[in-house]
Amino acid sequence: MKKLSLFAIVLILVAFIVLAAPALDGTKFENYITGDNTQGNLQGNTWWGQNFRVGETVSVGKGINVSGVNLKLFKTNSPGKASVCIYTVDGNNHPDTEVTCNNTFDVDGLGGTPGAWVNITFPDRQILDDKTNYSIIMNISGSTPNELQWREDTTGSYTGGEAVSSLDAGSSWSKVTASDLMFEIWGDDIFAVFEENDALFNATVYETDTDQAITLNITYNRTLHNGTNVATLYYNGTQMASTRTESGNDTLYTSFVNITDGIGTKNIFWEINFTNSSGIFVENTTARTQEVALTNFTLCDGSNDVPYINYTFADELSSAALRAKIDASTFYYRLGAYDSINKSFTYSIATNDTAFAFCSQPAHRNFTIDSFVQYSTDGYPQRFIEEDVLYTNATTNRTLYLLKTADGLFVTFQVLNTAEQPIQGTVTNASKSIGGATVMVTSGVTDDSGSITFFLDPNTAHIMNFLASGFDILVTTIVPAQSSFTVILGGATTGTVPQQDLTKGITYTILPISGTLTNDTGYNFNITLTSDFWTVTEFGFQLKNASGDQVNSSSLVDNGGITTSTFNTGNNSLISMDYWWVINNTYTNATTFWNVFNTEDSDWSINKFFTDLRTYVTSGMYGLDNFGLAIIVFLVVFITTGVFAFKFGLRSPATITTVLFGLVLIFDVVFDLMDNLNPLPAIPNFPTFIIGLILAGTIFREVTK
Amino acid sequence: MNNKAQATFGFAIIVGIMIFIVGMLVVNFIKDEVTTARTATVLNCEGADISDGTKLTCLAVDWVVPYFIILVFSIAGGGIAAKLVLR
Repeated sequence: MKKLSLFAIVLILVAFIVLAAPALDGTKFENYITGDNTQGNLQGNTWWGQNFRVGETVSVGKGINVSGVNLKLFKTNSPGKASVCIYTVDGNNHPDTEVTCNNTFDVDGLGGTPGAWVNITFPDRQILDDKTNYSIIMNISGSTPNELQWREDTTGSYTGGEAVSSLDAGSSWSKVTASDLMFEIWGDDIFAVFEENDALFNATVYETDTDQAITLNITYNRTLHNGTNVATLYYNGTQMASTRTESGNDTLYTSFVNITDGIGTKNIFWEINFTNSSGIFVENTTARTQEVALTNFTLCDGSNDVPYINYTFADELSSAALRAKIDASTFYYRLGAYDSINKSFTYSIATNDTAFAFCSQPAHRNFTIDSFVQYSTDGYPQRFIEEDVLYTNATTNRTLYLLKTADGLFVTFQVLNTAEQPIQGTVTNASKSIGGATVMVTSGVTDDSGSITFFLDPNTAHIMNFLASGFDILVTTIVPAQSSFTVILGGATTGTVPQQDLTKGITYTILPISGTLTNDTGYNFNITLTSDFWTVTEFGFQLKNASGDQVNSSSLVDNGGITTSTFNTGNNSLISMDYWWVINNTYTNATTFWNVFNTEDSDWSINKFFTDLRTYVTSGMYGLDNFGLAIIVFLVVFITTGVFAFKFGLRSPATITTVLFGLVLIFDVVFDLMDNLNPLPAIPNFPTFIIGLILAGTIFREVTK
Repeated sequence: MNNKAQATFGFAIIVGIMIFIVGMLVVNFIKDEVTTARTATVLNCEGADISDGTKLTCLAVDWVVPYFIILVFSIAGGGIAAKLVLR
C-alpha cells in the first residue's frame, strides 16, 4: 500500500513538473529531433551551438517571430545558470551577432541522463528572416564536474545547418559538420504583407538630372489593409513623398528625384505604411541602388572631347575673322529642367586664339547652359554676351562679334518702370543685321541701377529686347547714336523708348468718316495706310463693342495698303476700332470710335413724319408725286415768308432773305424735301447753298450801302 | 411788380410746371399707342402696298406725338411767358 501511495505521489509530481513547464508560443518551425546518439558537453569556456536556416524544412511567410527554442538536455551535478541565444552567422556559418537571448535559464532544475525536451523562452522576441541562416548558442556558468549535456546526432541529416562548438567562450568557432544537436524553433509565422512586382528606375542617372522617376509596383490585400497606404522613398537617406495609383490589389507608387548629391552609388528603398483599423504597419521594400554618373562641361580635352559650343570671333562691320581672348566666362550647365540644379564652370585665357571649343559629357545628352562670356582683342574693346540656350552634341558654332574702338560707341540703357524706379535684372540684348541675317551681337542683365552698357555700332539700327519679370517684353529698334537711352517698361502695356518715333512718315485714313452710325446697319470699316519712312510689316484693326469685346478684325501683311471688313452695327451702342501697325516687331496702336444711333424708338418723331411723307409721295399718294411735293414746299416757303413780312412789317431785303434761308434750310437739309428742286444733283443741298449765297450778298450790300 | 402780380406769376409757374409734367407723362402713353398703331397688324405703315387713306392716316399718326409735345410746351411756356412778359 505504501509503495502504491509513493508511486502515486511520484506520478503527481511528474505531472506537475510537466504541466508547470512554460509552454512556447506559436508553432514549431525548423527542428531536428531524432537520431541523438551522444551529447555535446557544455561547461566553462566550452560552448555549443546548432546552425539552422529559416524556411529550410518548414516553410514560412516572411519570417518567424521567434518565441523560444525547445532543446533536448540533461545536467550533471549543478551547472547553475545557462545562456541560450540566437545569433546571426557570418560567411563561414560561424555565430556572429546576437539576435535574442535568455540569460537566466536555470539548468539546475533539469533532469539527468538520458535527457528531456526543455522549453526555453526568449523574453525579447525578434524576427528571424526567411531563407536566412542563424545559430542557437548555449553556454553555462558552471564548470566541470558541473556540466550541461545537449543531445547530439553524430550522423545528423539536418540540411539547414550543423553543430558548432567553441572552446574559448565563443571567441572562435568550429563547425562539427557531421553532427546536429536536438532543437526546435518556436514562434509565429510572419506573413508578407505585400509582394514587390516591379521597382523601376534608371540604373544610371547623371548629375543635375531632374525629375527622375522611381516607381514601385506592389500587390497586397486591400481588404486587409484598406486605409491610405502611403509610401515614402528613401533616396540615399533622403525621404521623398510619392504619388499613388491603385488598381485592384496592385498599387503603383511614383516619386521623382532631382540629382543633387554628386556622383556615386545611391541606396534606394521604399517604406510603406499599411493602414487598417488596427493601426499602421510599416514595411520596407528590398534595398536597391542607382548609379549617379558625372556631368561635366569644360574646355575640350582628351577626356571630354565632344564639342557642344565652338566660339569664334569676327569683326562686326567687315565680318573678317579675328583672333581674340576670353577675358572671363562662367557657364552654369544642367541636364534637367530647373535653373537651381546646375553645375558651373569658369574659364579665362589671356592669349588670343581663333576659336574656343567647349565639350560636355555625357555626350549623348542635351545640355542647357547659361553662359556669360566676356571677350576682347587688341584694338577691339571688350564685349560680353549672356545666353541661356539648350545645346546638343551637334556642335553649335557661335560667332562672337567685336567692334573696333573707332567704330563703336558705349551706350548705356537704363530700364525704369512707370514710376521711374530702376528695374534690376532686365534681360537685355541687341541684334543687328549682319550678312543678311539678324544676329545678336551682345546681351546682358541690368544692374542694381537698372543700367547696362553695350558697345554698339552707332550707325546701324539695332533691335533691342528688354525683358523683366512682371513686365511685357519690349522690342524696339534703335540707332544708338547717343550714349544713353532710358527705357520705360509699363507693366501690362508695352513700354516706350522716347527717342523712337514709329509714327514718322505714317499716314492713314479710317472709314467710315462719320462719327455716328445707325444701328442694324452694315458698314465697311477700313484703314488705308502708307509709310514713307519705316517699313511696315503688317497693319490692321480690331473692332470692339462697348464692353471691350472684339467683334471683328482685319489685317494686311504689307508695307501699306488698305484692309477692309464689313460689320453690321446691330444693337451696339458704341463701336471702337483699335488700329495698329508693326515696324521692326514693334506694335504701334491707337483707337477711334463711333457712337451708334439707335432708331428703334423713333416711330413717333418729326423725322419719321417726313421720312414717311417722302416714302409715300415717292410711291404715290392721292396723285401727289415728288414734283407736286416740291411745289407744295415752294408754296409753303413762299407763303410763310410773305406772311412773316406782312405780319411783322419786314421790309429789309436782308431780313426777308434770312427768313427765306431759314425755311429753305429746314426743308432742304433737315427734312430733305427739296431734292426735286435741286437743278444740280451733284451738289447736295444746292437750294440751301444758293440761298445762303444770296443772303451773304444781301447782308454785304446792307452793310456797304 | 406788386405782391399780387408776384403771387400770380408764382401761381403761373406752378401751373405751367404741372402742365408740363402731366403732359410729358401722357406723351409716354401716346408714344406706345403710336408705335402700336404703326405696326403691321394695325395700320401697317411700313407696308409697300397700303392704301392712300392709310398713308394719310399714318402721316397723321406720325404727327401726333410731336404735335402733342409742341402743344404742351406752348401751353406751359405760354402761360408763364404771358404772366412774365405781357404784364
